Amino acid sequence: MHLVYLVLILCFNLSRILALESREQFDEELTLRPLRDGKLGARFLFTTLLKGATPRRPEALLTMTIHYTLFPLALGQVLREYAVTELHLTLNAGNWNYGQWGYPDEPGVGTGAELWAWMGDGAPITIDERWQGLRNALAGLFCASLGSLDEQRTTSPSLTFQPEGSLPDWTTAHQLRHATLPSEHVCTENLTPFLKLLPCKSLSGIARLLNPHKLFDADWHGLGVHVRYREGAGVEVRLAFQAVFDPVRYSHDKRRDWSLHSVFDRSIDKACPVARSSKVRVGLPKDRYMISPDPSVIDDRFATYLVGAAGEALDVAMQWPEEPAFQYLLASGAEPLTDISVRRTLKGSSQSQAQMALVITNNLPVQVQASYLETMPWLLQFYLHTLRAYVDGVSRDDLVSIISYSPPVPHSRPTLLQAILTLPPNNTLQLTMDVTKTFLRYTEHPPDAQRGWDLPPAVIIPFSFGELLSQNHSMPAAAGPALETRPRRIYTPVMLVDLATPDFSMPYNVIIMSCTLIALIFGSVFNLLTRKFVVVLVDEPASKVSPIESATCG
Amino acid sequence: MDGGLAFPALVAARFLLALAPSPAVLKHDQLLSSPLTSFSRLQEGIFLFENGIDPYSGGSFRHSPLLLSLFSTVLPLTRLTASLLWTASDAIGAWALIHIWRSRQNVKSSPRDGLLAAFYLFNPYIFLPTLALSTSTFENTLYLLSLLFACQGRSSASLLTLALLVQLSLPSVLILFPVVLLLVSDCVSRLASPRPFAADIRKTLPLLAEFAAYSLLLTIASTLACGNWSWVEKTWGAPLLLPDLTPNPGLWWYFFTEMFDHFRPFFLMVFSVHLLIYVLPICIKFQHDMLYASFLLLGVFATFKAYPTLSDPGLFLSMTSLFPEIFPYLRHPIVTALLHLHASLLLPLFNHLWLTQGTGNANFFYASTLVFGMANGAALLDAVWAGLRIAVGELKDGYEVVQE
Amino acid sequence: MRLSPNSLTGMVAAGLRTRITGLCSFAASRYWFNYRHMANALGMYRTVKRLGIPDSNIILMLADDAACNARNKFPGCVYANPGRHLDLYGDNIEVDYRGYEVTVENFLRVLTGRMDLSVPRSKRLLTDDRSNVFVYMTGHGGNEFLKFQDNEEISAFDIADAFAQMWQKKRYNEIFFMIDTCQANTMYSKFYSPNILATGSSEIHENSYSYENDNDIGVAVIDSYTHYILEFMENINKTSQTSMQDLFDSYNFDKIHSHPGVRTDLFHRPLHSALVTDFFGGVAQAEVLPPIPFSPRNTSESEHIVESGSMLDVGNHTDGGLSDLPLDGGLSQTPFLAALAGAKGDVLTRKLRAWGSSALVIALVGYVSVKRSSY
Repeated sequence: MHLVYLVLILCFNLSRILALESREQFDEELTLRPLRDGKLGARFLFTTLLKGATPRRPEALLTMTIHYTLFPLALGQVLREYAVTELHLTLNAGNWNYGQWGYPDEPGVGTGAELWAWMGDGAPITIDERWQGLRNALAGLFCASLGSLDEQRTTSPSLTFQPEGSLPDWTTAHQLRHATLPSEHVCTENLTPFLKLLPCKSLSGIARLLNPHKLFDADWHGLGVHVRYREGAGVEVRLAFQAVFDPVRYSHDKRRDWSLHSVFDRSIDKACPVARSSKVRVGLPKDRYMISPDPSVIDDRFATYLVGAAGEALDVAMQWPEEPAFQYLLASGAEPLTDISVRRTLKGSSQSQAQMALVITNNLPVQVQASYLETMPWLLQFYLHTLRAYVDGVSRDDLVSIISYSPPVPHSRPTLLQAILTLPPNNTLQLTMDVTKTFLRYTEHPPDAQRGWDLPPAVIIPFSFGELLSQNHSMPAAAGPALETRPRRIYTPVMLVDLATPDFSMPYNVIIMSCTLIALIFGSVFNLLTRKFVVVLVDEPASKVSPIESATCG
Repeated sequence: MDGGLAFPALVAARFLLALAPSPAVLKHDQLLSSPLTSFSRLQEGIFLFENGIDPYSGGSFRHSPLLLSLFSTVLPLTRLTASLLWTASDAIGAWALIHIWRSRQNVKSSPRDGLLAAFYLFNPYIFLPTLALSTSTFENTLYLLSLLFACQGRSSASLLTLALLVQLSLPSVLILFPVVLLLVSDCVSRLASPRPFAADIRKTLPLLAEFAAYSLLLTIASTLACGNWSWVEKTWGAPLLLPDLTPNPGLWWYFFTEMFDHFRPFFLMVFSVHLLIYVLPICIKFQHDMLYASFLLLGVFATFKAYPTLSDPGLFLSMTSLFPEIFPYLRHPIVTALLHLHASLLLPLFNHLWLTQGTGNANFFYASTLVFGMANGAALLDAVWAGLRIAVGELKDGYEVVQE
Repeated sequence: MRLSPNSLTGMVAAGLRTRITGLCSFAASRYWFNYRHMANALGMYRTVKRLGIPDSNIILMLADDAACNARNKFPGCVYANPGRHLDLYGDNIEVDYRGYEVTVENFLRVLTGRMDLSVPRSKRLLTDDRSNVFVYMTGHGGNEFLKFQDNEEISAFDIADAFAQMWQKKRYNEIFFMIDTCQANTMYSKFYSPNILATGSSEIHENSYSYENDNDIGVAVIDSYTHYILEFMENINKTSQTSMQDLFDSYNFDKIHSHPGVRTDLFHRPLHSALVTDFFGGVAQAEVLPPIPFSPRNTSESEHIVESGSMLDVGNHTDGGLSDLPLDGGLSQTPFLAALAGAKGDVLTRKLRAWGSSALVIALVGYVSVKRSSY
């Protein structure tokens, strides 16, 4: 009897498996871009699409029917458990140099860890509880300290972090949770679980190139996990690894020639068999170069290789034969690669007060509106009334309008400041604001307190580009390379704030000394208040106390 | 010197001082303004309030909602009006001090008026916080006005000013007891001839009820301004829970910075109750002179309250000029004066060394607050001793007063 | 093959019960100059992994990031010998607690299993009364304490009590405790729970020394005691019959420069019959239990779950419809413009409330002054 049931179930499931196979599709792509400062930008992208799937409704029961062949199971379980509709996790190290490298292929380049998720409301378990569970689960999955992304770092800046996919049309609303941990390190232990999410691990396909010893030697590196729901398509997981290598540093004669082998110390020896497509795209520079082997497809911007097409190991190489050694561009002579450039600094030497300055340059000949987001831990508190805007040294407070501000609550909630800035064409806007640094309890300081605290990056999004006035700019073509004007996130570098530290060896001493002083004064006052005053004769022997003069009330 | 001219001249001098450009560093000085009285935070709160953000939803604004509504409506704050307003407040304080003296002496005018005004207006502990635009200036003025009205027997005015004061700073509620007793008795100096409390203690009950009514109305006004009750925890909760550990010249901040987390609530309770303990014994011992009792309590608060600034001990020191009769009996005035001098030099120096220069550490400043606490304690002990010793009177040679 | 959930649980219950060896390997020191402590712990990690313990059974705590430290000339690598022959970090490593997470509290929580519900399995020591646990600690220590992060310390009493709690909660069968720090032997002097074998690198009032420097890394790369333990372990494989007695006999003062200690009074097996692989090896011993009867009701229920739980909406999707959305797809300017337009809040009501409150205060003051003049 049991056996019949068992066989039935097996048959049923087997048919489902076969159906499922075709419903998951896996694509991988490696994009390599020589950058103008001689570096090489690399972006590994592994996309798994679960066709026809929808995110779990938070109020729906959690059922145990998970079967994936390509979709990462560990991640799928987390998504279902906490009913996450859209999830983005990035772990980056280094500052993305927008000026030299342009916009990144993956927009999330904030230093350290950044996690944001859109979750549907309406479950018996609240969003905040699920958010806590989610970050703990991801902390376990990716060996990162995401557990410390607690409510002291969590905000909901839904304007800046709009969903990348679509949100299912449920009766209950979706909410955003966002947190950053700029001090998070990224190392092999984060890459290991990342690779385990791939169907071919790092054994074949372009993932073969993910060699930790080379990746973590890069000038900038970061990994990202992005889950989104695409209406009509399904749930998509994008695993991305992005890095900026320095071939000039690796080469002995200061040349920027590179090959997969010189950069990754490996080559792609075989294709991942389950991948629907597996491509290597190489961005083509404007000057004279040589590329080998011959690409499968080539257009004016990219040369594309199909992995596994040739049947032999793929080792792409690019050379600049006419260039004896790479000449660095002067920073001043370089045209900006992004619509706007941002610099953020913290000024002042005091450990209690400081001034924050944001310098935004509009590189376009048109007026640009940009959104500005600060999610500041309560360690630094803004004096919003001191926010001033200057253009060319002239006060222009009308260029800033504050959209939302939630002040910080010590020990529990960070600041959220969202503003819209209007940037005059080809000009620089300077914002300054006084800030005050908080004083922490001694138990709240980290073990290396004197190092200071990393503050999360600000995020700027230029979103509205004014019309070009043709009479002012008769030669728009001469205004430099056409910049791609569409809303994109720009992260500022992180800041380090130096907070005043107490003496960590003093708790007992302070308790003893303060209490002694209080007890001394208290004792003396009550001594005076409670004891009677008497007059004594001091010239005679001390025994002759005269009681007659004893006085005062008591 | 003619008392009639001295006071306006001094006030004019203060106005000139207020209008002179003062260094911006004063505004952030931790000795002159605490998180509860800082002008920057007040401005921030008003800014947030006027832009439709509840300032009490954050953790940095801890001023009373009354200040918020007054300064956002009838008294708009600019650099100029603020300087004038703060100095005017000090002038009123000095005027109140003079009139307390007059009603204590039962005279219409006295040659000491100018001296009293000078002692208040040019006490550095008073005028530096005023230059820094710390709202503790208003607290001091309200203290003095409340005492003045109590001396003059104007119970409603006295209780209303006290109720206003309590809105600004919760620990001041402890002064209610001596003020009410002062209202049912009188303020004539009887330190030298103590006698049991004469007036009927039951007469205080309607006064207490009146105070409660005023407080209730002002609380309603506060809630109206704020829109919800979150201000209670933020303003009145602060001196009890010590949420902000910004350094100040008092004894609490470093103690609770270094406190073990699981002992924090216990010691917060101990420190709060400790303030409470002094009220009854001092009122009983000085039942013959309630003004002196309230003066001593001010000294206690200046030493032990949660967020003191220099203006709290400043008020206590300036008020000593009301009691010239005790001067000959002070126990160790030289030591006290030297301690104060020592502390007033050390405090700004060590604060600067720690936070700006970076060459000292927190212990430097902590040590100087201990010295300052010692100095305030010594001044308090001097006053208690002298207030009791004066009853024994002048002694013949060879005799000395001791305690049994 | 796919198993429905009930049949899966049924199989685990009916078939195997494994004996798991858990490991807690752990470096407590922060800062680059304590590189060797990271290397010590990673050396142990590598050894037990080589001997067959999977990452899921290992809790590795590293107080600082030596491998990707900016001062590390060899990114992603940690070496334990001056020639840099063997990279301990490798390509496949899972660090369960790192950086600021390495605290005394977390360490004791891992041992005793008192965790928040949402803490994932990889951060828990999932052992039972049939598990042998190997605990290795290294860092800077002293008489009966070990420093964490140069900031807090754990005392010998804390560890002894944690082990006692583990025993009461049936979280171990046997513990092998190893510690490499100055005055290490004091750290196990307070143990009182049964079945603990402990060893340490140095006696009271005695330092433990580092083994060697690497000139390119610039700091000492491993401690002497751990180096010789690892050297001994290199000769052991999964089927090795080497006993604990052999390990302890290999201690040599002339090489280590300190007196390693062994505590056996709580351990009830003779040392020569306690194999090194009892603690270092991933020995899974299968044990057959009587099967739990399968009820038809269960299966039908599971089938039902399969049906109702299907979230896969078999929709009419075509590959052509899957054209790529932009990567930062959703960002559009309309919400910004909408927010800009709607930024003005209820300022008017606030203003009214403020005026109302001011009027109340002024009225009160006016009333009191009028009242007085009417006397």
